[in-house]
Amino acid sequence: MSITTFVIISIIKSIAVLGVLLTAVAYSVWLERKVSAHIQNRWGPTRVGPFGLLQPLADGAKFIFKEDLTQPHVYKPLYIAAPIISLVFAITSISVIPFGNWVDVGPWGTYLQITDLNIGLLVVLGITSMGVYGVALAGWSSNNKYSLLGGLRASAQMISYEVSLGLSLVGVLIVTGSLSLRDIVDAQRHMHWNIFIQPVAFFIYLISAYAETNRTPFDLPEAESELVAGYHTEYSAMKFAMFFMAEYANMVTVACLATLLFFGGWLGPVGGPQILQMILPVLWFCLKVFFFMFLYVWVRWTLPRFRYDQLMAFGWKVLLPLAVANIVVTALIVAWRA
Amino acid sequence: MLHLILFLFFGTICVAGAINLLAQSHPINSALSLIAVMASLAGEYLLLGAEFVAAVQVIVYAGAIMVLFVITIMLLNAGKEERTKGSRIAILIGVPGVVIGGVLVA
Repeated sequence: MSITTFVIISIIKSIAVLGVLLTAVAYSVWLERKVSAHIQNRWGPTRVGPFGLLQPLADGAKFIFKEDLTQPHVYKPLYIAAPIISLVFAITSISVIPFGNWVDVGPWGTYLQITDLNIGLLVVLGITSMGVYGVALAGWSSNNKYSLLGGLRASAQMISYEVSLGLSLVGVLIVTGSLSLRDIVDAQRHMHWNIFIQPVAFFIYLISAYAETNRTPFDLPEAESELVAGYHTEYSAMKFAMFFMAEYANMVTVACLATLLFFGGWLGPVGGPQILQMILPVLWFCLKVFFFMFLYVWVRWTLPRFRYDQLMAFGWKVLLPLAVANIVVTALIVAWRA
Repeated sequence: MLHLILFLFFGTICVAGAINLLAQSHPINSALSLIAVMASLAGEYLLLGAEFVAAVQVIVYAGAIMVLFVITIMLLNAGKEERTKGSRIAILIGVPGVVIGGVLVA
């Protein structure tokens, strides 16, 4: 296809995926509020629209109209840049995530993925590594002891669990032999889902991802707002909303990766006419991602919080050796079979 | 043609970041300039067709090593460096000296 067709199709795909992602981020807040409410035996938002479904719109309007306090004592360039860095890196990693198979719309056809890089998995890891800067710089630029300590703790936690996150994915790589996310899903056809082949890696990945996105039971950087203060204590209105959106966008990315790497992505029973065959994989993908988002919220409102030294000890002394052992065992089995 | 434009783009960011690293007085600004240098080097690796090296450069250098640098600067509360008379004389003699030395060697 010509270059202009390629550019136009890419722009359409980017806008569509970005729109869906931002809506998903807003409605994952709704999901969290409703699920947490029902776990705690109360209703969540019920007044704004049926079942409180318009609550995210009301929240968005509130964040826009809230007073944007400008503190005199912050280091302005980094203070303004930190939430932008957080949000940009949280949203960018959706660009390599595949949602379905090849679709044909009239004379044009495309993969349901913004770009199919042959190093897709490494790109996602790199982008989540860069997202640590938003937290660290926010804590430092606020010129506030509590923010600084909260930011340092959060960034130390994030880089510690990135190690076991990456190592848990190496097991999947050894089994599949490719870094491209589409190839990893294609290798899971006919119910050879990686959850059955690599169960230990799945649990290590899930736990490391919960720590990476600062969600309970590893949310000491976030809950410091309840205890003392956190890295986003000096932030109001839209900047705080950007941190908030970045956190939920990270959750969506982790859920997408978990379905692609371990639960077979968009694979599921398909059949019927052509149009149904193009839409059903996307439906399966969305159902699996929804399950992981629900699991995220479920775990948050069930488990108590780790203390910081327990958190760091768990990451380095338990998850890291377990991930390395998983790699060794996987490599031995693959080599023995070959 | 596009290859040349992209090469010059990433190269300019790299050199400008490196010079900014030396010119800034606050160490956190120097650390951020170094992150820009690492990222532009990753871009250069991509231009050479080494996409794995580019990704690993971002993950390891920009994502882990520089985070440790930034954490250290924040934890140890490194402040602005002071510009004394001696350091001004050193800059006045040193920068042209290094430039002349580089031109002679290259």
